[in-house]
Amino acid sequence: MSAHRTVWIDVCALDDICPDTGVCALVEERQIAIFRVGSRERERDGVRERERDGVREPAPHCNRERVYALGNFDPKSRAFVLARGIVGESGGALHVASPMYKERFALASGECLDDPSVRVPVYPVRVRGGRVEVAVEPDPDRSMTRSGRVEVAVEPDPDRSMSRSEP
Amino acid sequence: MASAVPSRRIVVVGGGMVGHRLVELVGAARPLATAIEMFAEERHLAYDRVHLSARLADVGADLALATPEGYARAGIVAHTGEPVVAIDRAGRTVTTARGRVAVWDALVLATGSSPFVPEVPGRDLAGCFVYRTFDDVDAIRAFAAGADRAVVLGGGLLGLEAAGGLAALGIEAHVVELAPRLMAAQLDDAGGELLRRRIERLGVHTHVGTGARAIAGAGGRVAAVELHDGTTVAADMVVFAAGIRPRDELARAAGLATNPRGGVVVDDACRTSDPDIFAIGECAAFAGRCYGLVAPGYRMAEVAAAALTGGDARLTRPDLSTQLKLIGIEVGAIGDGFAEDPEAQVLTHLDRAAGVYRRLVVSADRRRVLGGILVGDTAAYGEWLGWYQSGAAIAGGPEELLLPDRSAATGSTGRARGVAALPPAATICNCHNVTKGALCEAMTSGGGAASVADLKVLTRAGTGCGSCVSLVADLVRAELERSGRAVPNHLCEHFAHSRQELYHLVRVHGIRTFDRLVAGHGRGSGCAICKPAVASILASVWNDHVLDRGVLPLQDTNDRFLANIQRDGTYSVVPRVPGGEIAPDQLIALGQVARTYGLYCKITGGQRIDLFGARVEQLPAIWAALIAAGFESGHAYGKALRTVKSCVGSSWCRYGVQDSVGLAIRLEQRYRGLRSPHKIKAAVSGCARECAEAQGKDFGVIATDKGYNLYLCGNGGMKPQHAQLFATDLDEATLIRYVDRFLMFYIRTADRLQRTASWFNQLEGGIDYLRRVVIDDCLGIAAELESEMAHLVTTYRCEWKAALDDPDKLRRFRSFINAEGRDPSIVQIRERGQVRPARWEEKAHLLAVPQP
Repeated sequence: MSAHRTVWIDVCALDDICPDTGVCALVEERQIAIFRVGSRERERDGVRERERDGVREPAPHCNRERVYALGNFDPKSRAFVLARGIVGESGGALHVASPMYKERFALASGECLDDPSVRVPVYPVRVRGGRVEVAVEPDPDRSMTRSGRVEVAVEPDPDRSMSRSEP
Repeated sequence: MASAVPSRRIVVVGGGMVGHRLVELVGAARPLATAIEMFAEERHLAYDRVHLSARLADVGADLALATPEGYARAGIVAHTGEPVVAIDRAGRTVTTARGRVAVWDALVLATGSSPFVPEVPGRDLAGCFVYRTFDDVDAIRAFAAGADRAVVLGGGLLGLEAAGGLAALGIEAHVVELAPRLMAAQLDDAGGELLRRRIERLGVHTHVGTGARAIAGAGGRVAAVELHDGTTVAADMVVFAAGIRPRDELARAAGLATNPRGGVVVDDACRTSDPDIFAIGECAAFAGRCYGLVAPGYRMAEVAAAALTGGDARLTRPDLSTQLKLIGIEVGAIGDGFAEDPEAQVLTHLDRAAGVYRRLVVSADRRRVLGGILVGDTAAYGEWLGWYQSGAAIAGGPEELLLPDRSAATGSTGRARGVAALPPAATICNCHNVTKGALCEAMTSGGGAASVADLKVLTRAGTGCGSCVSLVADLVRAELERSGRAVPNHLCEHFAHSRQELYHLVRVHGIRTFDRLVAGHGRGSGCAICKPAVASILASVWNDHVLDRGVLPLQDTNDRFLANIQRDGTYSVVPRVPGGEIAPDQLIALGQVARTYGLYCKITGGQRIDLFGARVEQLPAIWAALIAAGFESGHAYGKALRTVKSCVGSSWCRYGVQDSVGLAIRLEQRYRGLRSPHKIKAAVSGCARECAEAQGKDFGVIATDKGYNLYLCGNGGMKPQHAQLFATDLDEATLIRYVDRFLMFYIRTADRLQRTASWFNQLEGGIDYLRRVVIDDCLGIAAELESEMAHLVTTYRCEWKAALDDPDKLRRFRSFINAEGRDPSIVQIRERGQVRPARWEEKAHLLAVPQP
């Protein structure tokens, strides 16, 4: 499948999202859960580190601020609620736990960590000039391959990290 | 010795606790080609007769000690409902009531006792019972359903158990005891009197120093009992619990030697006058007497089993020390509690208000424990017994043994130190004769045990009467501490700490955010397990608003939106209705809000009104209206105090003895908003009829005519658990002080999402330990607990009111960050005049669900 030009849609200011939580955006009649993870306070002078018992050490990579976007629909409860889940990390992998029955979905892949047969869509998302932008493909079935890798082109953003930096 | 070779066919007469113990031991050690056949008179296989009163309360109580499958696996053939009627010593057979003849090479008599029924006129009337077997208690329970009053003849342990069981069924119970005090065999006058007072306080009437002259009948049924002192007690039923007589009739008929006062005479290997016949348990007379306790019976079973399997064990004079719980009152008696030794010194401690009596008998040089009596609190039992049985010189003075709570308060491991001081030879579990040395062995080289549960499996300690479990727990703690081992109780992959430890870290280091806690004491960045748990701890300690930026990401969705999420992603709203008391204007206001926002209404189990179907963007307006009408947040969304339910109480009810609604409101307003490891529910009943179901709550209050009885750690829900009676006849100030301490102690020490009931079940030392902490302040933390609670009470604010006053918090109450309006996936259907969420098949065609 050939790459085509991505249409970025402005959603909100990054600061509209409280760090380590999600919000839901309505984009072309689709509900998209957007998560802001990690915090700038922990990134000092570009060096990711933290203080622990008086000693500075590198912080886990997941503490770096990132933005992710998943479908808001929770396939287990059949309710549109994933944006309201708790953001967590397991073995370094970031996920959101559904507020309904607590299934965990990987923020990077949409994969359900508690049931590999279940998956939610992942949307391209980036931060530009303090604004959060997502891209919605006209046909979500074609936006990803079976392995869940995003095929659409996403521009790398040197200022802020994102869910996907390379096609 | 008559036969060194193990016998081939062993017949056991009697299937009670001691007979069962014997076949279990022989079955386990049995050499090949040995057959074990047991004949039991009762229809049931062995059960725990010591706790018979549990079956009086509940026919489903699990008291079974043996199962047919277990016996089949061990190769034991058991015949129930088939008593042996004759022994043929010459022919080496027994004959049963069914005419079956069984051949034996060795015979064991474990026939037990029968209840003694004195020659009282009227004892054959309908409504007269004995108290010994399952069938007896089943008959008593059935009859009690149509009875109001019962007289129990006999104030020993059996009689008091029976009376307590009857009282629990709602029967007015009277205990009649011939001796001048209750439990005359175990207690001295002071102990017996204290016990009598405490039992009376529980509503059981006592008549001591008198007996039954006659039972008067009417229409062939019991109508009253006339006492020697001239009193007549109206009664519908009579239970004889006036002692037991050994069942030695088979042995007597077979020509075996018997004791003039009853019992089959045995030697120190439990052999009768026929060396191939053994007698064990209550039917056996050793050293001139029979023993009506299970521990000596088990010891006899061990001795006889050793002889039958080629081993050698000898009986010594059984120790009659005993510890039991009568109607919730603890009683213990050790050795020479009466100080029959004229040289002995006696130390006593009597606290009438607390209902505690301790009497310690020591040698003239005050170095050795000779005996003791404990009423109301037997925490010291295990330690005293250890010193008594080992005969070792006690560490420290006897005063420290007399008042263990005081010495415990001086060090964090006070009691454990007490256990640690015991000599290895000290017996910890009397039922299974397990010494401290054996337990320590099992925890080190022997078995690597690290918990009470491990020790139960490896050594059987604590699996008999259970009275030693708290001592075993102390020993486990002491041993683990000594060897530097700890029990892992990590919250999740991000914290190698238990919830209790995290609570402590938060308080001690003044930590107010998750980031600081995980950076300093954890790893990674947290998950849906540790985040809400830490949020709960932070709220319990600091009481900051749950929507403050630092803690918002930690909250579950219910806390994040201060409402309860429902299956369609909408929320329900529950305003507080303290004590369930609600004025007409408030009802109207609730109705108006529900009508305005189209909410479904349902009355909750906690006497409130739940309004369902609110969308997130509606919540602030709904709450603005509710607050304007005088409501405040009900915290139904939080792991927090929910409700204090109440019955209508003395203001209206003709039975009520206290104003239960008033107290419920005061309690609910005191503890509203209290964040805890799990939800907390409470109730206040205005009289013993208990309409508020306080005995199924985390804390429950039942009014008495003298004050309030406090029940703790009950639970409804998935695993209902009856609350424990914690203290009786309290005034309101004391009640609140105890509840303050209890709740903060629970909040400090419970695991994540652990209700008080399961917290209690894991609390080593049980209700007595909880009493020592909360009432006696044995940990010296009561003042801290009270001041922590005072902080939470004074910093309470309505979370919804605070949220409405803060635009930053309100910004999050919207369905979409980039659009106004409602979530189109929320579809409702009208049903029975209200709305409900559409089921998936009713709305799927309306929605475009994205597929990955």
